[in-house]
Amino acid sequence: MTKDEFVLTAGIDLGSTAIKVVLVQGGRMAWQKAVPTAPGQAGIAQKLIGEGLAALGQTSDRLTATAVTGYGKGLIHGAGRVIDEVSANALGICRLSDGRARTVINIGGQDVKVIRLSATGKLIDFKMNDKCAAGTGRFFEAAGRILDTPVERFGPMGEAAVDPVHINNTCAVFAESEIVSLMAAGVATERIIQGLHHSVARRVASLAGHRDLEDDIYLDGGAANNRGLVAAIEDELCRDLHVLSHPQFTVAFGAASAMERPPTY
Amino acid sequence: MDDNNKRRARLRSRVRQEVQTEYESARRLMEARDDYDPVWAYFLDLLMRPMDRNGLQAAVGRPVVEHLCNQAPYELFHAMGVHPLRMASGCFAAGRLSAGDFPVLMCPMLKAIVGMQRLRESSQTAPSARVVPTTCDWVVQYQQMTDADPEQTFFMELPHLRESERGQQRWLEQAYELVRFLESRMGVKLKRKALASSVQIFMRAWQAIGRLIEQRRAGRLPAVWFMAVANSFMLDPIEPWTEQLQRVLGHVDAHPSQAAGKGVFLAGSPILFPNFKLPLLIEAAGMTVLGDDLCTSERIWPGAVCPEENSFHGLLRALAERYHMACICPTFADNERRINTILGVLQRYPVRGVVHHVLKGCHPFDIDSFRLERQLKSAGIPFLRIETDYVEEDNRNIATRLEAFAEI
Repeated sequence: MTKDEFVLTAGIDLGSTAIKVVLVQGGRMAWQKAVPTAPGQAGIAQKLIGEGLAALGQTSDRLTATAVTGYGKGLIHGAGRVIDEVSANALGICRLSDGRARTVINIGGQDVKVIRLSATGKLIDFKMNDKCAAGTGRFFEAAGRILDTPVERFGPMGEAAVDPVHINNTCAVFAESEIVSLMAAGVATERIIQGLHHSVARRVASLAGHRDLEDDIYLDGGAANNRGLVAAIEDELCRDLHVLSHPQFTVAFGAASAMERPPTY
Repeated sequence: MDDNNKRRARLRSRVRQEVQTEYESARRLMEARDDYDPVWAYFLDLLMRPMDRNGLQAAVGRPVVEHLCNQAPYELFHAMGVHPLRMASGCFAAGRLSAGDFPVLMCPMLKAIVGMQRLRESSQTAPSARVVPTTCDWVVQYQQMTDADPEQTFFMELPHLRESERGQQRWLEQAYELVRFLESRMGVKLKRKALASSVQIFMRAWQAIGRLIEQRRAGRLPAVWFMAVANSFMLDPIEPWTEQLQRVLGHVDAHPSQAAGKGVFLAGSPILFPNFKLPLLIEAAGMTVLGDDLCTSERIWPGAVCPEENSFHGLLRALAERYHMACICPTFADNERRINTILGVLQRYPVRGVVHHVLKGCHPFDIDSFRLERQLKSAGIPFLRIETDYVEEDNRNIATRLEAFAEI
């Protein structure tokens, strides 16, 4: 076992919709868990770390350092490293892709980001939505409520649709009323869901700007688990996307990685 | 008073209170800073009297002429015995009084200006005249928005194509037209001697501002204090304002702040007190604004006016040329001067990126930001575009982007 493999670090991502915690050992994601964001975020994160250490059969004195990122990063005091979520995302995807990623699209709870990074995971450039929830995780949550369908089922349901409806609205609120109208007109839920995927994909493509994208492109954030959305974005960008395991934890992993020695690819 | 008037009066009273609260909160925030010094109190006092025509008129002892934008030479107003008051406001609450009557995506600054006008219309005497340079679409519509007397309004019809002899000639013609308009409105004749004297008086102010700009370039002065000074320009007679600015220069010489983190250039739409959220967020993200091209900040300074001859025509031509050259507003179609100015600052000072502020609805800066982004990024200069308005609900989103930008 090398010296690095003894190093155990924690990465906390206090996001707008979920708190994500990862434990990183020897540069690998050894444990991860996400819970919905709720009051008392610092306490919840600490509890999750304890749960992770127990799952790995470790004690808290083995934890070398903790890094924190995300909207709520200011809530945790005494962290070894506080890092912005864009830089953490770049570093996380770089390490998880073994240095292959050059662009990452992150669909978070209330943000969409398109990030360009170097071979070492350094942030080169990024774009991020303004104060608008269209195309974000919140947008899918709202759609799920109206369609009475859990967001987790959007992927397979969307993929099953052969002719998605066209949803025009780029505003989350008006898109909701458009969905209600489509439901009232008897349009199948699957077609609406796939229409939503394409609507979000168009928005992502518009934010990205085709010429800014550099292969290899990765998609992360919780929404990356939605295969229908991945396909729609690939279709819109005319590019292949890579999705790694646990895409929701890339940012927390990146935060933890910021405290580790950089690997050589 | 009928019911509608009662409702309007009630709304005005409520908004007046909100405006007061907004200004006082912003002032408290400035006073609570570690780098606050009593030397700034004078400028904060001025900022607390936004668009106060009556108060200003009493302070300067001259009739007040309202104007929008920076294209009309200040020296010219001064020489004619009137005081120019720029219509500009960064107040969110004031916009409530006008929001219902105009497009949702209207420039928040114009909304705030019209709101402020409505707030004060019951208590203020009418201005002697208004000068409206034909810059952006919103500004051009100002007279209609406020139902101002057309007889009292002078549209300074500026060219859209600027970098030409014809553009220069047009600017000069409009300066002459402005003189004729003010002479007719105010019943005074502009004299060569008065104009020469005003050029000298303002030259002292321009020199002091020039020194302040250099202090900031050197990282010795935080952006918010520079903006507080710039925003208060012409909210008092020019001579005491310049004296106070000299005190500030002495203070900055004696107590320079240390520039922290990455130096950035702040470009784009105007930023006005009490809405200093963007410079404050930039500072909180660990960056220092070393320069800007905002028409409410560094661009109030047209630079030294150098007449080739001391005749009336020579003076007026020198003024027109100076204001013409200094104006890099993207309402002009040929505006390479803007990017060249930014690149010039980037070459000479430790500026490592450009933050471009776009007020929602500010179409000229919005459109220009994309061209600027292409040009700067192709030169390897990091560029971040922030589109926002006068609300604070997007502070976290903006902070996230600024924190990441600081890492590039």
